Order: sequence, then structure tokens, then C-alpha cells
Amino acid sequence: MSQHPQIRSERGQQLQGLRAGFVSRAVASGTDVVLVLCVYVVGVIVVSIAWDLFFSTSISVAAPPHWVNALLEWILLVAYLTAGWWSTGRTVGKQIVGLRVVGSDGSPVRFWRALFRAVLCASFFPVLLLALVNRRNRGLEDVAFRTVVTYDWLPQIDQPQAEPPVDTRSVIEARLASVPVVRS
Amino acid sequence: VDLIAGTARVGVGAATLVAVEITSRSIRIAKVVVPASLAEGPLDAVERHLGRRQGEAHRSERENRDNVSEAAESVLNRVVVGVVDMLDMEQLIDHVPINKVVARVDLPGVIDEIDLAGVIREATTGLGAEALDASRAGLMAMDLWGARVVDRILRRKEPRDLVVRWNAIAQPESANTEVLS
Repeated sequence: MSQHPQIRSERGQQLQGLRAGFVSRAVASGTDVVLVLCVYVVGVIVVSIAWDLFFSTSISVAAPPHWVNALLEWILLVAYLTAGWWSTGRTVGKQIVGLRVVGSDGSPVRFWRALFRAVLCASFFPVLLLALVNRRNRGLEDVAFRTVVTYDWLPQIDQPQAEPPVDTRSVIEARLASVPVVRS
Repeated sequence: VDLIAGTARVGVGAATLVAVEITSRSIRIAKVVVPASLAEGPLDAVERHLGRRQGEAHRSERENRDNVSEAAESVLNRVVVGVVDMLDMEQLIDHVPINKVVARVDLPGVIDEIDLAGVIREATTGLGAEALDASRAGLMAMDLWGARVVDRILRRKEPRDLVVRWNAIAQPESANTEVLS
């Protein structure tokens, strides 16, 4: 019987919870970057028009200097990635592809770890290339911040649940009760 | 023919039942009027005979009634089919005020009952989910293929270790690139 009956693809069912490969991760990252660029462009246009409406006689779309564009895009990307990884372990790109970022022990990624990971990824995209050759599909950001990217198509499958504490006393008592008593 | 014969049988049965009932009551009155020494022998015999006849008449009457209802249904069906065949449908439709009939139908109410939005939503959600699953599975296949190519270039003999530690118990032993590819 399948562990994930909601997933129709057989391969999808088999690979749930395993380390994601380079292509999926690259597509997810590319989607995120394109999304942030779109948001930035729309934001610049809206702000520019709104500014002209209040403070100018004519309406035009401003073209900020290149370094301003690059800086604002970087800040937006870092904020977006941090928010996604820190909150649910997913950005929109990872949600679409069905991936999740977690700590190496399966715990959610903490804020600072998510922030530094985002800074590294936004500053130097080729960090992901290591996943192509690494035996455990780990990118440089995973190695540096001890994170894992797994296939996780179903939003309700959250973090691994901790095993319930074992009541040692009751276990011993139950076993003793099952031992036959030999009377001489 | 079945219908006529059956109806006749039902009539005869009913008449028999009435006659038996009248005779039975007459005998009861006679038993009161006539002296007991005279009435006991022959009147009792006649009453027993009438009781048997009455039971048979009841049974027969029930059977006849069922037969007649079946025959009537069959005849009615044939009559309706014959009448419909005789009708000129084109002419009939010309005489029916379709526009008035449609105007009286509460279309918004009917659409509300159908929950068209729900039907469309479910259909599109299912299609979207299927397309998304297929895309994700395609990316997974490309992941495995890319890893295999790189491993071959690097002359690795061991498959990649994709199982994460906290999931190791839940995952099957076959969870490696060799088997899943």
C-alpha cells in the first residue's frame, strides 16, 4: 500500500522525503528569482507612477541607476528567501516544484540560519552547482548551514514527529506479567 | 382478449362470493328458526361445504385481480405506444409554445441548485493537480538522470545516498537512484 495515496505519480510516491536533485532545485530557485524580479519591476512602476501623481506634473516611469536596482533586488530576494525558509521551509518556487528546506536533523530552519543561507544564495548563485556532484545532493549552502532540501509534495506532511516518550516502568511491568510463574 | 376474459372471471368470482355469503347467512338464520334436531345434520354439512367454497372463491378472486391488472397495464402500454406512433411530432412541436414554457423555467434557480461553480472548481482543480504532479515527476526524472550522468563521468560505482537520517526508518531499502531510475 502506498504511503502517499494523494500523489498519483509512482516515482513521486517513492521519492517523497528523499534529498532533492539539482534540476528540481535549480528550477525552483530560477522560479523564485524570476518572481522577485517581476515583483521588483511592478513595484518600481507603481511607486514611480504614484510619486508622479503627487509630486510631478507629468507621469513617467523612472529608471533607477544600475547599482540601486541590483541592491534593491538583492535585498528583496534575501528577504523573500528568508521569509519562505524560516516560515514553512518553502518559497513559492519550492512550493511549485514540491521541495522543502529543513535542518539536517529534520527540524525547521531557524531565522538566522535562513537569513545567512539566503544571503549566500542571493549573493552567489553557483553555490547550488555542488549538488550536481555531491553524493548526497548537497549544495554549498547545505554544507555551510547544515540544511537539507527534500522532495515534499504534500503541504500537510510537516516536520518529522518526535517519538513519544516510552514509559519504561509500564513496559517492564507488562513483560513481567507475561512471564509464566513456575511454582515448585 | 386476456383483459376481457380476466375481467369476466373477476365478475364471476365476485358473484360467487356474494352468493356464498348470502347462502351462509341464510343458513345461520335457518339454524335459529328450524328445530335443532332437524337442522343439525344437513345444515351443518351445507355450511362446511360453503366455507370451503368461500375460501376457494377468495383465492381465485385474488389471482384473477392480479391477472387483470397485468393485462390492463399491457393493454395500456400498447395503446399509448400506438397513439404516440400515430402522432406527427413535427406538427405537435409546432403547436407547443416552447418560448412560454422556457420563460416559466427559473433558470437562475436551476443553476443555483446545480452548483455550477463547484463543478467547475473541482474539475479545474483536478486537472491542475494532475498537471502539477506530472511536471514534478518529470523534474524528478531529470534529477535522477542528471545524477546518473555525473556519477558515470566521475566513475562512481555506488549510487547516491538520498535517504535523510530522520527519514531512514520510513524509507524503503530500495530508495536509491539505481532502483528508482
